[in-house]
Amino acid sequence: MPSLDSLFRPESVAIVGASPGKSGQMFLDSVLSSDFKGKVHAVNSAAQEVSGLAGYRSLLDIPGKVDYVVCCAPAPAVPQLVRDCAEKNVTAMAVFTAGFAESGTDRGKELEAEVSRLARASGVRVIGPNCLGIYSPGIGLAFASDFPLERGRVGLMCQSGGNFVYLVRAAAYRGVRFSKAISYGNACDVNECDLLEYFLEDEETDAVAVYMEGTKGGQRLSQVLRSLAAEKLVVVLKGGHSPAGARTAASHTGSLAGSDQVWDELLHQSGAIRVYSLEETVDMLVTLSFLPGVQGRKVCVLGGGGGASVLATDDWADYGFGLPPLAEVLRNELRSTVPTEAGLILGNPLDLSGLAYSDGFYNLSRKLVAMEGFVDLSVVHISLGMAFWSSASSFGEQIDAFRDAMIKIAGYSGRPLAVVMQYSVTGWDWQKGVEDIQRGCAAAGLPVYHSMSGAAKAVDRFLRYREAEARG
Amino acid sequence: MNSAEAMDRIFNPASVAVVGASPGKSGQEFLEGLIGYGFEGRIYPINSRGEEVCGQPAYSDIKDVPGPIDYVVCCAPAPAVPGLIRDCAAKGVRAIGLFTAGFSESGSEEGSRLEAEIAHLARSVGVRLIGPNCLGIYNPKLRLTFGYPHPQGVGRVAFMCQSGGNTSYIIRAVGQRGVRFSKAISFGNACDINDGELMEYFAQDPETDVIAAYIEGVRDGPRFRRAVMRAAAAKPVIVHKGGYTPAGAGAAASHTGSLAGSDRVWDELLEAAGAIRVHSLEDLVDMIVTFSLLRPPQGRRVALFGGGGGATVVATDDWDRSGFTLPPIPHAVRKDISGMVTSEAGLILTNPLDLSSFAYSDDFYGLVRRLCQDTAFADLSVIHIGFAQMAWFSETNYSLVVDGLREAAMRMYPEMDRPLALAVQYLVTTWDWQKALQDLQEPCSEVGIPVYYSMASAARAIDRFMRYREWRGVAGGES
Repeated sequence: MPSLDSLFRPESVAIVGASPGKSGQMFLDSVLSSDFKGKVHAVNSAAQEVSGLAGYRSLLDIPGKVDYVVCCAPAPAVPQLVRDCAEKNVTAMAVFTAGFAESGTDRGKELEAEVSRLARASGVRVIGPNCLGIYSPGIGLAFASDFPLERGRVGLMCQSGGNFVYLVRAAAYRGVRFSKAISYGNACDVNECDLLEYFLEDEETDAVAVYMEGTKGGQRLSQVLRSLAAEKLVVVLKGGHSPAGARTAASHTGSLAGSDQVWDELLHQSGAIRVYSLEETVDMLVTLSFLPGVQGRKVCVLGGGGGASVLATDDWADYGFGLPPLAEVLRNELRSTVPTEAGLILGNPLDLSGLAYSDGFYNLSRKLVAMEGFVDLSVVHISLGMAFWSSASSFGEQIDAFRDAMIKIAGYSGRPLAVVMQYSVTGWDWQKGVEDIQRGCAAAGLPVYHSMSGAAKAVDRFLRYREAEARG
Repeated sequence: MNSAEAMDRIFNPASVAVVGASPGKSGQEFLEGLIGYGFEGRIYPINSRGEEVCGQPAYSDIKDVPGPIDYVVCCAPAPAVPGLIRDCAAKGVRAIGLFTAGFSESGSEEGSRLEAEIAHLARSVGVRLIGPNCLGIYNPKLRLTFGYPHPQGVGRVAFMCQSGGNTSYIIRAVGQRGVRFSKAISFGNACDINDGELMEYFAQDPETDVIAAYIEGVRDGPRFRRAVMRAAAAKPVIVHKGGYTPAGAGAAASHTGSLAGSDRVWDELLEAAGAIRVHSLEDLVDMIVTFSLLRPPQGRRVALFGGGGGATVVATDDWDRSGFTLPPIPHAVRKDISGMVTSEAGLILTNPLDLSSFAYSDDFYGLVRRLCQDTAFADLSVIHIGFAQMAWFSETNYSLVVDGLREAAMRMYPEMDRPLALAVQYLVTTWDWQKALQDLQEPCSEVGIPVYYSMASAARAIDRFMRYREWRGVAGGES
């Protein structure tokens, strides 16, 4: 069987079921607006023009070769389409269509078994059914219009289409970029084991994020996961880990979820990092993408706000980090730079309250962040909803100044630095925070988290992974 | 006058003076807060040069103010505070909120000495002190505030908080979610008015139904213990103890000069009292929202409605983990749904009910409403919406979904009497989250629907609420 690599590098794409106003047109429009350089064809039963393209009545009517097919045709039409694909020498077909094993009906299960059998017999690789298929930024191919088109080093495989979209979007907004990503649904042919094996071989992928609801692989899954985790960092979110969740997973992707204890042992023994929510998954991807060099558990917390500083200290301490005290020499230097010490905490955490985010604050932060031998990680936090007096104009200026300073400090020191942008209250703070702090910082290669505990949890997991790796 | 009456008078001043209200200084911010929020009483700016500020004439000395002053906000430097206390005593001032820092929290001997001195002085001259190192009183009934922007309107939650920033955040974040306060106080180092006294006051305050507290350390352990036992016997008490780790306790000492106490002692005390302990400000907000807005469910059977298969699987795990069960949808309803949808492909027609792209249509609401009202089916219904999970995201479609959901939820909610909550899963893109908050979350919160930002946090808060009610049912003989 050929490597799955060709799945991620089609030179021509056809969308079957691309009728005006239907989901097929959504796929088509997204592919057309992406950076995909190859041929794009539309197929619909009425041979109707759609999005400015001629519509072919059948896949077989398309002149020239087709490598990748997205199928939005109704379920009963899928088996014949697999045969057509075989005749046309198509490499792979992603079946968006649902109504297979996940429906719980005999008819759905039979149909899925048939598709699976046909795929194996013909050599056409079928992705799904009940999935979104391939996102391959290396060749500019995306099926949703706001996915980033630059490539990165993270591979993603996800059994749920919605969760796939969430993970790509949320991680992308925080600066994470993907090598290859796939939404693989019911996994009737291309399955989790094939994908894990592929990501192990793929030289463009350094780390892999997995959302899985179930497996038919058993022993093989355990082996491939172990081999992959031995080579690359693997983050796994197991959907349907509770008995009730497992029943929902069966209705969603027809998955046999298995007992949570089995999964826990499997993931633990393989050396993968297990997470429990989509938000935690994104925090892990941010951490492995932007803080690969963090070496230990000494942290310095800098920012404004006494209460926020106390809570931040609890959060880091909860996850096993220590905040070493500032050397007396430094404290004296700090004392000489502030007009009054009243209301500040001149230690670690460093709380400069009203003076925070001033030039003086940035000069100090720069110095502390760059200091050799002091801490392993510096964290600068800004608590958007905690300002006593918050006017739109001062808030906007403060945010811009904060972002510019963080980017400068990061460039100056090169030591591990993270930004925590937290306690946003209104839609307006959030938008400012995300657009003006997060995007600027993320683009400059800084990890941005939305809460201190989220940051502490992710960095703790990353270090535990590294510690386990060092022990072998 | 008993102590509750005295405290009532402190929370209800007819006139406020801001000392240190010089242009460009923090005193001016307090003044702007008072004026902007529409304080109903007299406002007197005081600064040493008698300079006009915020368009108002200022007095150079508190003694020059012609009428009485009930409450003083002090932004003057620490060494000036003892003199001010004497002047306030002469003027008949009830209480001073000391924004001024540089006392025991500084860790210096001079700071601790000065704090002891002002506490002693205040007691001997009969003026009460709030703080130092705090923002003071928020009483929306009088439109009395210390910061801006703060929500208008009066509610039934009291909040006592040792940190100014945390007070500002909680007032705003809780306000954003449709809940208002009876009173709130930022009380900093608590050199005079302290945690125990405030807890006693709110326990008997007829304007307060729920007490929330952020405490870094208590000044008088036995008094606080008695007060929290009594308060929690009377009404829900939610406590976030800041500085619960040894390192955090060190930070708390530098922040408010607090002796934090061992975490186990706190756990035991709050458990024995029946108070609810939370470990983050977000959880504190969720608990306040739940106690204020959620119609009490009679059991733990939950029905989940929404769109998105993966979101639904994760949501099921979240509710299961928090001890809820998901009963199957009644057969008759299941049949109705099958008749309604054009194809079942891609949907989950059970509980959780995932109608994917069919969700949030008129039919969807009719169905949700019917299921919500079916007492034989579930005790609690939760609608969730995961905007960021839509693969094809056009502004037009998005607006239709947001506006449609808002209209349906706001129409449905007042007509039904059963527990319903909404989870607007927080997303991370730009304008769409702003729109979700402004056009969906805020209006739904304002009509009294409890809204959460994730299924996991909703499940956690409602579980805690149920456990509290179960405990009351046993220990308090009521439910």
